[in-house]
Amino acid sequence: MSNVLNRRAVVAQEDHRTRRGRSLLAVQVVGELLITLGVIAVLFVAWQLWWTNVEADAAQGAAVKQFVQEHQVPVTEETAGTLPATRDPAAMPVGTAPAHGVAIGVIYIPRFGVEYSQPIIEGTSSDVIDTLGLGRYADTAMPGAVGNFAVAGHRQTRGAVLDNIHLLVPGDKIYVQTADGFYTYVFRNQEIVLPDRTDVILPVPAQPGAVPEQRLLTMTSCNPRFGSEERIIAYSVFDSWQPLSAGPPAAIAKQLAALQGKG
Amino acid sequence: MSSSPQPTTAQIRETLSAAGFAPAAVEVSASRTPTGLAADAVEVGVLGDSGCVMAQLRAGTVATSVLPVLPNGRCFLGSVQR
Amino acid sequence: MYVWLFRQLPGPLWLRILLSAAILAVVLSTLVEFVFPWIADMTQLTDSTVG
Repeated sequence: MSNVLNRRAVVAQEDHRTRRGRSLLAVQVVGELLITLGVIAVLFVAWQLWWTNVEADAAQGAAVKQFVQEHQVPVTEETAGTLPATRDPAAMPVGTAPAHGVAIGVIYIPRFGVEYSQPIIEGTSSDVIDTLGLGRYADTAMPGAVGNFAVAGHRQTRGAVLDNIHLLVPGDKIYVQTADGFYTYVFRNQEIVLPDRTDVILPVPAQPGAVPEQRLLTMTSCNPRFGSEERIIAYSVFDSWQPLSAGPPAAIAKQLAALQGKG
Repeated sequence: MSSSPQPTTAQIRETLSAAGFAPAAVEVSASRTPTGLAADAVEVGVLGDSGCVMAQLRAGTVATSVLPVLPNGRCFLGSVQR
Repeated sequence: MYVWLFRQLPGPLWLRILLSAAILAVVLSTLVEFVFPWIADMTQLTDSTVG
């Protein structure tokens, strides 16, 4: 092998001394640089579509486990789903917003899969939603509060947190677990808008100045799946609440038990 | 209800109107997005006595449920026009 | 260009292969840790918030 290289070196050196040789060398270097740029571009796409998901899945899974295990909930055959959840707002606590980057709770969306769970973190800047899951828009309501509890999540890459947002069917349940209990929301309808529509996260979506009467959950993500020209918005209405001591809603009991069980 | 695989908002309104539903009681989501893409699913909300009948049409299948009417008397949240 | 670089590396062949692999690893991790996130921030391809 080194003989071949040496022979090639001699030939190359002879070539380089001529003017034609030098132009050929320039072409060769430029060609190799262009190929290098091409390879980097391919690596970038692979990084976005694969590696960021791997990293984010790990971070999000860890965040969910940490929250769930810090707020252990009794899950037994008897309690799961037997105690009636309340719709009485007077008995229901609403948490206060934590500092940026701090976990608010965990969201479970059975429509996205029986194992689906994601952390809900305060803030929607890229340092939150790029690695940690769903981010809560500051200045919107907290879970269970009157007004609009609005969150954002990536569609593709970074864990593809809301990739299946378009699959929600009216009537689907969405469960939000915080330190104050389980808040159940029911999906209502979705719409696709342009990115500048900040009015979808107002206390009454798309109605500036209106006084909110309802407790809503709004989720935003990109549309189409692999682009960001638009946003897809999913609206849900609060349905019921139960304290952590009552155990989880029946639909997520098994999933929660598994998350709490692993040490 | 419709010959095409995914009916447009206008077609759905016409069909429901022809079936006797008052236009004021019917809300239909957009079948095209703001940049002209086809929406994955079209949602219909019909105001009835017992609540809102919500239907989602997706690739030829329909999923329905009945949900409570919103306090302002409508079925949809957001800016879906009647 | 790359063949010339390879030949500039010191030592016998096995050492050059080892050094090339090490340099490649450094380049890849620089790309993944710094360059790619920077490009991703610039292009806003995956923006999912309103406003």
